[in-house]
Amino acid sequence: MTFLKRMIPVPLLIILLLMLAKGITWALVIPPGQSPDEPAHFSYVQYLGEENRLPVRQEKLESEENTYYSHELVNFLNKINFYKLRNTESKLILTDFERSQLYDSVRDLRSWTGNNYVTGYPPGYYWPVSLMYKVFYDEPIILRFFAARFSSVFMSLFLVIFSYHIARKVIPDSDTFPIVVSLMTGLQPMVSMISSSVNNDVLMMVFSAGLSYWLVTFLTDNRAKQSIPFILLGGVGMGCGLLIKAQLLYVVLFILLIVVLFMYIKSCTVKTILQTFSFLITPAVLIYSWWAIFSFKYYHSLFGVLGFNPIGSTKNGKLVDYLSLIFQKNAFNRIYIIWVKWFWAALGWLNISFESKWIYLTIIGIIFISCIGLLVGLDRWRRFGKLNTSVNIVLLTVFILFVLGNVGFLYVVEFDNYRKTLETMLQGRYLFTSIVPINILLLIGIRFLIKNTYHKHLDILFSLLIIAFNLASLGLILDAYYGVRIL
Amino acid sequence: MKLKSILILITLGVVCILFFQNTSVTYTQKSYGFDVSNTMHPLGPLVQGTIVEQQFNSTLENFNQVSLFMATYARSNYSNLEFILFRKRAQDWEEVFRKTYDVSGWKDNAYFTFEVPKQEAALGVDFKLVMITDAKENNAITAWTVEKDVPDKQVKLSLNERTIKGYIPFYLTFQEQKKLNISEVVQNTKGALSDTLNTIKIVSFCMFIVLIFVILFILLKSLNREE
Repeated sequence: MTFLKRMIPVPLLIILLLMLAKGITWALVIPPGQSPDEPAHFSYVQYLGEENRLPVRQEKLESEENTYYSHELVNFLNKINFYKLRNTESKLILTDFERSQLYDSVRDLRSWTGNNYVTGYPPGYYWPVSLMYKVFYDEPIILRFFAARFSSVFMSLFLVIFSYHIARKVIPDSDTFPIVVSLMTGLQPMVSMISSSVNNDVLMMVFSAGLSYWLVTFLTDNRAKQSIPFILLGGVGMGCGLLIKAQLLYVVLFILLIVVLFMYIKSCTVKTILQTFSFLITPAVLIYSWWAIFSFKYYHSLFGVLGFNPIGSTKNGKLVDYLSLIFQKNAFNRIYIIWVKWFWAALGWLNISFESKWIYLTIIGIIFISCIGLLVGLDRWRRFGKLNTSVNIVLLTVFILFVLGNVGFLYVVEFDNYRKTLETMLQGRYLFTSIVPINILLLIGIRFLIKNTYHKHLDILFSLLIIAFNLASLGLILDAYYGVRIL
Repeated sequence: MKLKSILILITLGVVCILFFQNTSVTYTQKSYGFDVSNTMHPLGPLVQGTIVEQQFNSTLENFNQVSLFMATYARSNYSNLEFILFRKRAQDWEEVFRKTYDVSGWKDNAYFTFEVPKQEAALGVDFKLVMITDAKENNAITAWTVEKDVPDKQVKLSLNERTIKGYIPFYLTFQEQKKLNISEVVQNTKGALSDTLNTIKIVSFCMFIVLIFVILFILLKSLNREE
């Protein structure tokens, strides 16, 4: 009970209730299937729920309407006007009769090949969701679909818990900082959309935040460093994380690097470092190995199917041609679209975004000011050995490296695998592995520029901003899908 | 502290009243089925003497906008286009709208929306739009055409009274602004949800709003405590 109280204090409990209410609202407002790749993710869940075995992606993929999904899922998508909404931006208006048909029990063919473009993902997210699918097995597909969405909503609550506790470690004596960090994480519009959808990115965010919390504890708690169960827990987390999405590889590698580096700086013996490293890596490898073998057997890769093979000019060397490709024209526009628009609010298949550029320009302004603040803060610490606020400088430095490394990692992945599909494969939300560090850095950067007295005011201001941003984004969805614009 | 709380409550009340009194809602309905396609080609320059006609059957109960997919040959064309809309009543065509547009500011390869008077009880009714221009070759715009077999009953395109296979991509829109009415908003955003799911949605949204105020209250309360 004491542990639970310590882990979920009253403010966090209220935030969790708020996130639950928000998640259910978003899950029911977004029309089924309209989140990125949602039908494909749901079909993976359905395959596991029906066949009790992993689907295998074939080399050849047919057109989406024909063989991607089960007969039942295709019928369902047609009944809810999925393709019309996605392709023609029309509105979701159903008659009472059409709606009632969705809830009639119809025996439809649920089995199929399981072959679609997300089939190559590891199954870490899909297993628990397929259990929820089975709970509603005898219900119409629409209820199984919403059950899957609600599983995501439930999972996303852990993201909020971790973000709260990470923030508490970064500024231990602030009672408002953890609140605003968890609000900024849970209410971020794109996070809200993903965490209310059937999408493995939900659990990717949870495990990234969870592993970050593990790292933060390792770096700040002396008892934790010497506790073998704690270190083994980190290894188990890494193994499970890798079973969710290959992007977690960056988080795992970064944590391993920081752990070794930190122990080396703290003058630990080589034996201790090796021991800690092996306690981390052994459970991770053991947990991940069976998927690695499966993946290697079917896809000749340890990390699942890589959807596309790189092409593009190699006349001047791969790197030079890649750099010229992404920087030669619209370089700033590309950065703006990927890291501002797609990261913060370009919702669903339709990339529904705000008409006013001022919203995105404000975000750019905040990022810019925050970066300056971070530079000022680090310079102040270098010169005077202290800051104007009680920020844990080690964690701050680690987070800066974490975010920069993550951006670099995503570009490397694009360079290596997705050059062919430039403009589509590197999406802003892939940086959600760093969502908590990014929010923390944004807030701390601005904190460095203002007096201590106003830090709580700043937290309240950012809380209001993110609440308004979330509600406005919900309004965008209502406008785009239902034709209801509240002015 | 008590006075402060009362003031906050009064302010909140005033904000709520102002919000409900001044907020308006725009409802939009949009038809679909005759969209752009990869197999499109331009109709050719719409020069003086050319008459483009497209008959269509309305799939909306009401509409007040007609959007057509036009092109400008990637230039500014200083010419005019007359747009006429007819509605079929019994066997006759009744002109319901006529307006001349300066096309110099039109966007290339984009839908241009013609605002027309509200057409009520239009579902299943035949309409005909006619476009005439005063342009020459060098300042003419054009419309895209999707070459596809479609039943005449749904859409029929003709150029200078000669029927052409396919259609100019188009959609109808009905847009109207009303005062905020919660039950109307709830009804219009029901989508695919059953009554139960819709109720859950509304309850969770209300809880979301209430909890936002609770968390803001906690944050404001913490202002009195020193870090």
